[in-house]
Amino acid sequence: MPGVIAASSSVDAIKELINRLCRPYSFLAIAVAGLIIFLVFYRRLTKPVVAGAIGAICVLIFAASAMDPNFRLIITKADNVPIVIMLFTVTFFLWLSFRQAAVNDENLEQGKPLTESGADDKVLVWPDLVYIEMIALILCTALLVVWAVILPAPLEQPADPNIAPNPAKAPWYFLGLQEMLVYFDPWLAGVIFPGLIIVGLIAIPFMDKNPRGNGYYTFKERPFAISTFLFGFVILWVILIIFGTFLRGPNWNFFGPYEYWDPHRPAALLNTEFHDLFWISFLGRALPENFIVRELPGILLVLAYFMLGPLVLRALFFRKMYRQIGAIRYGTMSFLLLVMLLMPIKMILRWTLNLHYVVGITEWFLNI
Amino acid sequence: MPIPEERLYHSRKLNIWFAISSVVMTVCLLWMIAADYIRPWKDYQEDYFLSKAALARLEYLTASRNDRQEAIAKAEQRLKDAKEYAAQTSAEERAELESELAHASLEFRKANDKWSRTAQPLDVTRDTYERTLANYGEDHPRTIKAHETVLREEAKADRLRVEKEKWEDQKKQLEARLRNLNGPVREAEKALRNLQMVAEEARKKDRQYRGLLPKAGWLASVPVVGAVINAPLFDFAAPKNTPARKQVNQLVLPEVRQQLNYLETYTTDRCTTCHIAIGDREFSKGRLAEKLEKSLPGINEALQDRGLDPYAYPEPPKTIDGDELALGEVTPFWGNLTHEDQDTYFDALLERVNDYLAQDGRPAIKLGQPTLAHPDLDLFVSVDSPHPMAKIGCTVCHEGNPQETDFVFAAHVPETHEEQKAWEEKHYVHRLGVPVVTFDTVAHYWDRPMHLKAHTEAGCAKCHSEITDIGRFRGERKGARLNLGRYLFTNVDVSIATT
Repeated sequence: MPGVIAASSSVDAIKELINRLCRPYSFLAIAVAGLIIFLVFYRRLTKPVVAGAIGAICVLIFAASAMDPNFRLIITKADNVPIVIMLFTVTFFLWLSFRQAAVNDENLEQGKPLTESGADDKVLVWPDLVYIEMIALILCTALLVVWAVILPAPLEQPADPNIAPNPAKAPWYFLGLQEMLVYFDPWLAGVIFPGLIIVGLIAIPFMDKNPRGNGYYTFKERPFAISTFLFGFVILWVILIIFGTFLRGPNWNFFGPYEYWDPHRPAALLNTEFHDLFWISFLGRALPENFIVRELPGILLVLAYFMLGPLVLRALFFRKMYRQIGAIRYGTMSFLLLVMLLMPIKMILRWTLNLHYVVGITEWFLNI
Repeated sequence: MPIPEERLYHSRKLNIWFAISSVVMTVCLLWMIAADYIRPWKDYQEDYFLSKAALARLEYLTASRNDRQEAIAKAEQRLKDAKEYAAQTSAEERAELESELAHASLEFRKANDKWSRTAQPLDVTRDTYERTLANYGEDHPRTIKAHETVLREEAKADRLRVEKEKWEDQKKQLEARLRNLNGPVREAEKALRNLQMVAEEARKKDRQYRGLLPKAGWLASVPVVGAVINAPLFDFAAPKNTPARKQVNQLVLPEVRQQLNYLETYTTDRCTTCHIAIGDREFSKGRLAEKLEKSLPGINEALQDRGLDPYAYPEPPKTIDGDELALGEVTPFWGNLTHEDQDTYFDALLERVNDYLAQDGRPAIKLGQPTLAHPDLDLFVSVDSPHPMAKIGCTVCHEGNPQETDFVFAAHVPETHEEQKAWEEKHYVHRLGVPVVTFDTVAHYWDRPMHLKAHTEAGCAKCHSEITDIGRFRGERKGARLNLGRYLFTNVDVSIATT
C-alpha cells in the first residue's frame, strides 16, 4: 500500500511479476496459450493425479495471495464472492467434462464401449429423480441462506446522479461486455455483438451437421466445435469477466491483483485512428476533408476481412467442412467466426499500435 | 453409441408445421409492431411539422424578395470585386502561403502526436517514481532508477515539445498572414453571409421540418431523414426534439402531486404529445395572422416570377373604434378588432396562403385543435409567464388523464351530444367492431375528467385557494368567472336556495 516504506523482498518481486503478467495483453496471451496447451494435451492434463496437483498448486497460490491486503479486499467484497466461486467451478466442470471426454476418446480408439453406453437409460421418477432433486433443493437453499446471512447484499443509499461510484461496474454477467467497451464502440460492444452472440448460439444447431458427439462426452470427434466454443466462452467471456471483476479499478484503469486501487493514478490515453496511420504516418499527407474518403482505407480493410476472410479460411482450414455443410452454412459459420475473432484482433491492435477505430465515422456514430 | 436412425415424429410434417408457424409468427410480430407504431398522435405531430415547414417557406420567400435580392446581389458583387482584386494583387503570395500552411499543419500534427505520445506516459512515469519514492525511500536503487527514467523522459518530452511549438508558431504566423491578405474578402463574405443567413436559415428549417436531407441532390425531395429517425424499432435513437422526430412529449412535474388511491406521486403530463404547438407563439391566431400578412408580398413575387396573378390583400375590417385600416396593415391593430373580424380576416389570409402552398405541392397550414397555441401565452404556458408549463403542466388546471396519449383515454369531455357523436366517429378505435374504450367508460372510471371550457377556471382554485388572491395581470382582473362564483356562493340565501 502507498505510504509504507518497505524493504524489497522476493515476495514483492513475485507480486510485481504477477502484477505485470496480469496486464491485459499478457493475461490474455497466457490464457490463450493455456487453453491451447490444455486442448492439445487434455488426455494427460485431465488425469486425476495431474489435475489434482495443478489444482492444489492453484489453491495454494490463491491462499497465499489472500494474505495480501489489496487482494483480500477484492476477493472478499460481497459482489465478487460469486466470481471467486466461478473461478473454481468453471475450472472444475471443464476438467470433469474433459476427463470424461478423454476417457471416451481412448475407449473409442481402443474399440471399447463408451462410458455413457451400456447403462439402462430408464430411471424411476420417484425416488431416483425427484428425491435427488429435492435433496439438492434443500442443500442449495441452505447454502443460499447461510451465504445471505454471512455476506448480505449491500443496501446502499438511494441512487444519486451527483455521486457516481468509481469504478461503476456492471453486474458480473455484463462485465465481459463492459470490458469489450474498452476496445469497441458502444453500439458494437453493447448492441451488435451481444445480438450476434445470441443469434450465433441459436444458429449452431442449423449449421452443425456433425452427427457425432451426441449424448456422450468427446473431444476428438468434435474438435472444431468444442475449441471454438471454449475460445468464445472461456477466453472472450469468462476471462473478461474475471478481468473486469478483479483487475479493473477506478476510472476503469488496470490494477494488478496486489495493487492498491488508487483513484488518482494517471493513465496514458494514446489512441490512434486508422485514418491517422494511413494518411499521415504512411502517406505523409493531411487527412482528406470528405469523411468517406478519409475512412475509405478502413472501410476497405473491414470489407476485405469479411469478404476475403471466409475464402482464406476455406483454403487453409475448412475445405472438408465446406464440402460437408455447403456454402450457406459455411458462409454463416465463417461470418460468425470472423466476428468472434475480431475481438482478439482488435485487442492486439490496441495493445501494439494503440489503434482506436479502424473505421471512425463519428459524423454517423459509426465506429468499428 | 450408434447413431440413432429412428425419429419420434415425421420430420417432413414437422418441417411444414414449422414453416407455417414461422410465417404466422412473423406476420403477428409485424402486426404487433405496426399496431404499436401507428398512433394518432403522430399524425398531429406531422401536421405541426409540415405547418412549421410551410411557415419557414414563407419566411424564405420574404427573405428572398427582390429588394433583399438586390442587396444580396450588391454584396455578391462586392465580394467578387474583393476576390478579383486579391487575386490580381497577391495570388502568388496567397498560393505560396496556403501551401506552406498545409505543410506546417501536417508537420504540426505529426509533431503534436509524437509529443503527446511521450508526454502522457511521462505522467505515468512520474506517478510510478513517486510511488517508488514513497514505498522504498530516496536512496533505494529502484527509486534512483525511476528518477533517472523520469529525467530521461522529461528531456525527450521537452525536445519534442520544442519541435511541436516551433511548428505551431509557424502555423499561427502563416494563418495570421493569410488572414491579413484575405481581410477585405473576409469582410465582404461576412456581409454577404449576414444577408443570406436569414433565407438560408429559413430554407434549412423548412427542410428539417419536412425530414429532408439538408443539401439538394438526387434525394432532395425524398424525406430520408424523416424516414430514418422515425423508423419502427429505431425511433429511439435520434436526439430528443430533433425537427421532424415524432416522440412522446412529457413534462415531469415533481411539485404537482396527484393522488392515485394508495399513492401520492408526482404528475407526468403528456398532453403536449398532441398539443405540440401549445407553447409556440407562431400558432396563436394573432401572430400567425401577422406572419401570413407579411408573407403575402413574398408569395406574390414568387407567383409573378411564374407568370401567375398575385393575391390581393383581404378587405381590411374596421377597428372596434371604427377606424379604417390600410390594405395589408391590419395585424398591428389585431387587439382592436372584434373576434368576428379577426376570424374573417385570418380565414381570408389563410385561404390565400394555403392556395399558394397547394400550388407548391405542400400540405396546408393547419390552425385548429390540437395544433393551436394556448390563449394568453403571456399569462399561461410560456417560460416567462406566471404559469410556466415546465413547472405547472396542463392537468393541474384542465384535469384529465395526464399520462395518456390516446384522445379518449386522456378523458377529453365533449361539450354537447353533437360534439360527442363527432368525436366518436373521429377518435374511437375499434377492435372487431367494438370500440376499445368509450367516453362514458373513461368518465366513469377516471375520477377527474377534463373540465369543460366554461369550468376551466375551477382549476385555479387548487393553488389560488382564496380565490380573491387571483391578482391582476397587466392591469386586468383575471379569474372573473371564479370570483363571480365565489361571490354567489358566499352571498346566496340558503333558505331561498332550498325552497
